[in-house]
Amino acid sequence: MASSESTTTSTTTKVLRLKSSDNEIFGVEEKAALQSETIKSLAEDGYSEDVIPLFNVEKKTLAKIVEWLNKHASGSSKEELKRWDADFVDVDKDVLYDLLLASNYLNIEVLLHQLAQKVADMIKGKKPEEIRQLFGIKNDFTPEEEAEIRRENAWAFE
Amino acid sequence: MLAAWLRSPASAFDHSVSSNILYNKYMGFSLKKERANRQKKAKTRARECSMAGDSEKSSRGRDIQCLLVSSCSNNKRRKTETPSSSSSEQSILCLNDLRFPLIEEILGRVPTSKSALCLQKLAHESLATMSPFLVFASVSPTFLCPKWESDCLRTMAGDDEKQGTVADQLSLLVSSCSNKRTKTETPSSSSSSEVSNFSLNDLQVLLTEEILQRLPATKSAFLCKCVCKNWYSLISTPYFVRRFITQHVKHQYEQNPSALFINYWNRLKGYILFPVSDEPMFKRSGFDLNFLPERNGSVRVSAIFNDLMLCRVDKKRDTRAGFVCEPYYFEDNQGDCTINSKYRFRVVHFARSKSQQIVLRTYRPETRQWYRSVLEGPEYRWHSNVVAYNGKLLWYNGSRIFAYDPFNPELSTFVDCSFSLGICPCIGVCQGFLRLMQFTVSAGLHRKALDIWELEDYTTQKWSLKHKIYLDAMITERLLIKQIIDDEKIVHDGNDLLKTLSFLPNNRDVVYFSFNAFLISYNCQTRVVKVVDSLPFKGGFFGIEMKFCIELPLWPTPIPKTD
Repeated sequence: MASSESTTTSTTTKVLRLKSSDNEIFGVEEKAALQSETIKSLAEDGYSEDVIPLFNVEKKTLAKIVEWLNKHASGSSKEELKRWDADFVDVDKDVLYDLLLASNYLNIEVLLHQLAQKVADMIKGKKPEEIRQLFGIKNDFTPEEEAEIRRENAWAFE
Repeated sequence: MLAAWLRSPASAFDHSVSSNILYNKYMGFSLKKERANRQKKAKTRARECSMAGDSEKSSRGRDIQCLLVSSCSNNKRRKTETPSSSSSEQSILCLNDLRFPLIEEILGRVPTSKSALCLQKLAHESLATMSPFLVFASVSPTFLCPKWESDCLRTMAGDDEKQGTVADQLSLLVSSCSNKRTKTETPSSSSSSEVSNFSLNDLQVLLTEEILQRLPATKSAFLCKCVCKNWYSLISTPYFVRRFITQHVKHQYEQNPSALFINYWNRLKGYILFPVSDEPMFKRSGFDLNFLPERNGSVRVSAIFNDLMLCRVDKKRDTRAGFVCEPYYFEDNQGDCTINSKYRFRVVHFARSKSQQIVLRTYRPETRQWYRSVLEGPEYRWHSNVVAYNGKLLWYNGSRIFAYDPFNPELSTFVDCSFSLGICPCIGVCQGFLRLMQFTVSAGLHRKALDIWELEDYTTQKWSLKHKIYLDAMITERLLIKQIIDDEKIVHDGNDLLKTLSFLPNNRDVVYFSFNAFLISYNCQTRVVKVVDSLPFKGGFFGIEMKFCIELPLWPTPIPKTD
């Protein structure tokens, strides 16, 4: 934290450069970028003057993340942010999935929570078969095991 | 496109970052747990109580056998955290007054008649080899609607010996209800056409957990156990339950539903649990206990605590019983939750009660024995029902409230009251506060009023009069009610037909009365009196021992272990 403060005093808007796994570079204001704990610790480790490599995030995902970071550093009102966030997470599953992994990797807690909530809402009200199909999960129970679990939790299936 | 996660393990850096997050989250939790002992918010007040070792004099008792009929296949369970340190806190569930001896106890969950049917055969088989006194338990799925319900059935039974030195034998039956649904559901057409690379298979446990703990309904979480082994183990851990509850407490996805249950006898169906509530999940039809294999129709509920139910076989003897259970989880004032993985329970059987003497037998699962104790003196008389509050069983003796601590009898205390005995006192817990209501007659005026008192502070024993409503000031909706109320304005000599019945745990405005077979609600804000329902048979009446308040918790309470 101390280092980030000292850097912001030198230039009013310091820009960090983030590099995606496919070598695309994004410039992000430091204030926005530091919402990511991962970027923050990298910046503190001396990457701040340099390009910060994010090996696990592709450019299209990183573009979305940058969009989110900027919006959340823009000082928008709570209500506006809420609406904006709802639109932001209203995306294709694949995009959602990549965002989830990226927000976890970048350790952006608020975003991670929003995305997790979005996925939870998708799961809600679905049957196990539908959940497996929707999310590509393999059923690794034997039929006997599954029957047993269903019996244990019969109330949930009613 | 392949799931991004598949690529990530290549990066050692990434790995260390994620485990760091995980570590921090665990640490965060344990720190928050430290706050658990602070003053509770009103909602949780009723759940705390201090506890120490028991030192009740024992009478006699044999070891009980414990029988596990069918266990849940939890062997895949992930290593769980160390048990919470919350054993210093506990709450109680109590039982309202019961009239008959606790011969056989059944501990289970509130049943639905539907699941009940499924249970029946299974339970029969299990019990066939046991002593005829054994009982069972039941349980399950609570209501057909949305959220709650249970997973398994366990039983506890007692074997009564003649003079009431109760049950030496206790059995725990674990079983589950079978699901009739044999066909697998057809996948929804919307998802079947989609092909996606989004696979939660590959998601690390931490992320999956972040998602699953945000499921808005408990039912969804239980359903998800069936998706795959990883999810099953994840959702089965106390850690998950704790996170789930915390998440729900903080975001208030859903309010704990509560209801008043009336347990009444129906000639055809035996005892029926009849729910009174605005909650849609408590459907009106009533739940019978016929799924219990033995003594159809004669099994009745002795007590309900959260979603757990203590039942017994009706043996027409005039004594009461109580069921006391520590809470399965605690919330601190930050909304964080702690799972009490070693929570215990007590069954208190009021074996004999005379005006000067009450004989209690308390069952302790730790030793699997019943302990006898005697309360001697007029100060233990019952003038009200019995409720659980602050870890104790409370009743009104006409001048003070006696708080009996079944976990630690020498810590039993009295709570002074700033009012005197009226007509038909009834105590209850409402949003964490102890309340008492009774009818009073103002001197000289012969005007009858309903007084509702609230214990504002348990330690200073400060009561406040929340409402004093004269019967003639009540607004009546129907002629019938008007007649009842008009009739009741006249003061009878000890023959009052209008009786106090109950508070609702999460609603401060509504109280219930009974008048013969009519169940009547009164709203303290609007002053409107309504007939809510009436017993579906002639000549019936609501006995005070027949009512139970139920407040469902955020996560189904496992049946306490007996060892």
